[in-house]
Amino acid sequence: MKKEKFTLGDSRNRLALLGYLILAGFLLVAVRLLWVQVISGTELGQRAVTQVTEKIKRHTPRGRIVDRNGEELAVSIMVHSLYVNPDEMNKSAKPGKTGEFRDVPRIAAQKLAPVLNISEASLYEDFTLKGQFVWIKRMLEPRDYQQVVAIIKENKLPGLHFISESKRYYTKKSMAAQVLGFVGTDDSGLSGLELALDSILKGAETRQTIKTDAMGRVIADKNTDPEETKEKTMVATVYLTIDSKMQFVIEDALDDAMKRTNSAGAAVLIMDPHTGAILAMGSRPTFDPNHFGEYPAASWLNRAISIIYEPGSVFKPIVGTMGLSEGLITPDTPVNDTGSIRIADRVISNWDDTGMGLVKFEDVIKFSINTGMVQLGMKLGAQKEIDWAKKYGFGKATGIELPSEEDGILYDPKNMYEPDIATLAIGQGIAVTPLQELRAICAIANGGELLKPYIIDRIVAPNGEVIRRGSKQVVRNVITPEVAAQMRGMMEKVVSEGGGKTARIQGYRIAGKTGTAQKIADEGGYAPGKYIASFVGFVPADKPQYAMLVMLDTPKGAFYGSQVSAPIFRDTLQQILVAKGIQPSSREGLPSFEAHVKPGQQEKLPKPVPELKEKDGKWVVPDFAGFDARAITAVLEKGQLVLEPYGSGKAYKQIPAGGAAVEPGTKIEIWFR
Amino acid sequence: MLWENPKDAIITLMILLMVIGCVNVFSASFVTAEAMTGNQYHFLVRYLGYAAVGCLVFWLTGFRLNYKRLMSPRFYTVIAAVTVLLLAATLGIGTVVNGSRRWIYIGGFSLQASEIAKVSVILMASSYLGDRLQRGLHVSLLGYPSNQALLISMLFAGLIFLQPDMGTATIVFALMLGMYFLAGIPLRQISYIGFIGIAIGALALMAPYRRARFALWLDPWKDAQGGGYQMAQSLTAIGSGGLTGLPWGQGSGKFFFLPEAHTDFAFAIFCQEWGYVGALFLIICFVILARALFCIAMNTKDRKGYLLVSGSTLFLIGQSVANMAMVTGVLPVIGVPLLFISYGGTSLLANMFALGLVVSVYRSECAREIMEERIAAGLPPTEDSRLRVVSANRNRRPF
Repeated sequence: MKKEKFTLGDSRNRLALLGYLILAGFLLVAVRLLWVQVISGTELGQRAVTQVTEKIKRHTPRGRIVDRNGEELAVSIMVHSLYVNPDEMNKSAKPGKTGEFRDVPRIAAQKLAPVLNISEASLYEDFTLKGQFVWIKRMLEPRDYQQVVAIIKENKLPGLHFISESKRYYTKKSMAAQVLGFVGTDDSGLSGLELALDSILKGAETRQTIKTDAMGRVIADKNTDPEETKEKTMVATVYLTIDSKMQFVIEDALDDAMKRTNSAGAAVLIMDPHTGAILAMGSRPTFDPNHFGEYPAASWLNRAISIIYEPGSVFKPIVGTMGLSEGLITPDTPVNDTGSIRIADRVISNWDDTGMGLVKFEDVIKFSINTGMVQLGMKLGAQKEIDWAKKYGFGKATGIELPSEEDGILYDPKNMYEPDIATLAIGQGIAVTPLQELRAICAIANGGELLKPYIIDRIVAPNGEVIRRGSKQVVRNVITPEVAAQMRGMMEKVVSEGGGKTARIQGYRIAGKTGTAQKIADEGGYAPGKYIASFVGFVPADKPQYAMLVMLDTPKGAFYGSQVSAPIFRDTLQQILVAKGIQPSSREGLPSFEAHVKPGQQEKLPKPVPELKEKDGKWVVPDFAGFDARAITAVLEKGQLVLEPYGSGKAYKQIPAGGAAVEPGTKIEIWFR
Repeated sequence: MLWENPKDAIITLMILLMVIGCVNVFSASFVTAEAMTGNQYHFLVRYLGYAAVGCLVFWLTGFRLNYKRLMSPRFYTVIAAVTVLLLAATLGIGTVVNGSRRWIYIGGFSLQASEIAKVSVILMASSYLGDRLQRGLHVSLLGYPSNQALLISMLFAGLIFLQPDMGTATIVFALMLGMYFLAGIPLRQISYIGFIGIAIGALALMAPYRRARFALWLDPWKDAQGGGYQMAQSLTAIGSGGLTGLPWGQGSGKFFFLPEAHTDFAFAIFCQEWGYVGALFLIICFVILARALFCIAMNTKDRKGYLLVSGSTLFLIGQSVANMAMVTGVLPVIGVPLLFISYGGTSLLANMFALGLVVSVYRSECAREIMEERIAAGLPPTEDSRLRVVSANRNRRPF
């Protein structure tokens, strides 16, 4: 190749070439920018806005629930929930150009573990996750919050932030727990009134747009003022018809009863018989809604409305009014009590298997005579029984403002055989909720009006305006005032003279009815040895002010309504009557009950049923002589012993004999007469 | 006109770009600075400090130093040795940031030896190749000793590659190739370079992960949260600026969305906050600066000075255009800074030094021109000279 001398001019040409290339580069960039900024600028700008803006929800405190007098039952305050932005925390953990190395997650975990009551290891794990948002602890108590803030400040811990959340406090702990229900951590009602009224109670949720950086931290910016939505912080207050004084009394009585009777469950209801307002509603087992998660779900169940049971004898006054209204009987109609009565293939006996001979119908109610009621039931017939039950509102939820209310179960009259007709008259073959039962009794108490029970007295907006007001709603008139008055008279005698004497309060006229029903087993049929003991009544009998129902599910030991439920009724109402200043009726109105004791029959306060005693893994069988099959079954059940009964009535002979030790599962033969 | 000669143009634009750089570096860095050091002015203060030192360097090299003193063979050896030493030291005692050793920290200040290597390449090439160009010697990439400087630059590039920093290594090597191109390598070798470049490119694309990166360069939105994140964020920032930009300081890119927001991608933040209008203004500034630099190069007769100015121009303007192309997605992401706009201490000092050299060459050329005019007029070369030119032979160089 010919070597030509390369001159400065040649080099300058090459330089010029490079110069033009560079100029072309600048032009290319300018054109590219025109495309990126001007032509697709809007779309990219939108993208930039989207990635910095974040919509956050802010809660304001949930509305209060207070009793009829304004006493606070459930209140909400804003508390702080702690979260970590791990990216932010870990970024500052890296050695900066100037600062020394600091293992921020480790320091933070060490300092915060004792305050938050979370293990250091699990905190450290949360702090070192990848991401921008991890809850550490929600709903910090104000005291803990202050400590955490102090720790963050003192140690200059980055990445730890708070969000305000509404926390629910149930000021009276477990009082009326099932009525109030509870609220989940995201401020949504999960049960009870909190669920039913969630849309009213729920704190105003204001959405706010904030700007955040790539690590999710809020960019301090004047445009996003967190105070702008402050005006909406107050929401409506719900006033209940519940009277917290009464509620306190029944809660106390329920606690006491549960301890004494060891029942599986219980419900107590107090209602204003003239308006249908619920004054107190209690259920056992119970829970503390502040920590509802620590209790089994069964304790959240409101037994006053959400369970159904066979009412048993407390249903008799209702059937009685059917007979009175239909003109089939009067209080003085003579009834022959034979002790037991055969209907088709079934024999229905009195509770004590004894007959009282010829009595008046009012005695049938007074002494809860099954045979007399069966005779009335047969006269009524299936169609009328069910029609009347429907008129009384059975078989259909009452429509109270509480969630998960049961309908109950009624027979279709077409499917009722004679024994079904007969047993319905004594409160079997029908399933009701305690609230339905009490409401029907209220119709007797108030002169015949079937009311829609309600528990919300009023809902008041922040500005004082009443949004909603609960009031008396008559569903229908079921019976005439005369029939109601007759039945009230009979029910008064139940307490003053008959089977409900344990409910008597000195100086007050009380109407009531006891009931002991066999419990329906989950698999159908009756659960042996399991009873539901109830008492229902109202006071004063002539001018009813309070109607009350007590229901104990499967009490251990004594199980008759008169033994276990009526005393609760008595003790509770006694306190309430005194507290409410309801004067006793005049002395002369008080019946002299000794004179009215059933002739020839002493009111046996039952002697306590002997208990099984354990000995070397075996059971010592007591002497059961004189007890009936029901009581014996309950005792034997505890030791998983099986009763083989012969005959009916009271036990007089048993194998093995009293005092013998037997293995669990052994068959015990007992003869009754 | 704001300036009467290219030198004044350079000084004017240098000050203007530094002011823009200051403002933009602060806006782009205050969030990061606050998070890293607790002081949002951290990078601004440092930028101003480096700029002050840079001005001193510029003044010293431009107005107090004769570039010819840097063109001696002895200085050539010293530069090569010092640069190799610094690069080796970086590999030895440098601090690892994001997986590579690029900086040596001395008393709170960082030194990026690879930036110095770029200036070293210019100085070495000018000194060595300028000498050969002046003497009319053949320059080849293949024949020793004429490829000596190239071999040394390959050593630089190799050491930088080990950091690892492939982008800068490529730039150092390409800068040297550019110098050889200007020094007159045969056209055949240029085509070789072209072929080898294409071959390396093709080979590189054999690897699937490189193909994936290549595809992401073409369309970063395909993986905007992964490999294409930086590019996608850069385009988002630029695009959101629109025609006139967002209010100063309100661009969102710097809030940890755009990585390297105040360094390599500072231009994206500038585009976001000043819009297309601002970006065009900045490009025009660079074009004017480039024109001034080319103007000086084209009028420099001293071969070494010529190569020095040309090399500095390629270094300053070439990197700038490459940075803008990278930030806007025209080129794949390679770590080149934008003159005065990107934050970088060593880079700023190196840039000011290079500009100082250009001014030095310019002043020297002016002096030569005056001298030649005086000689032509039969006057002594300088006013205080006692010499008199007896023969005005134009072909004879005075020095």
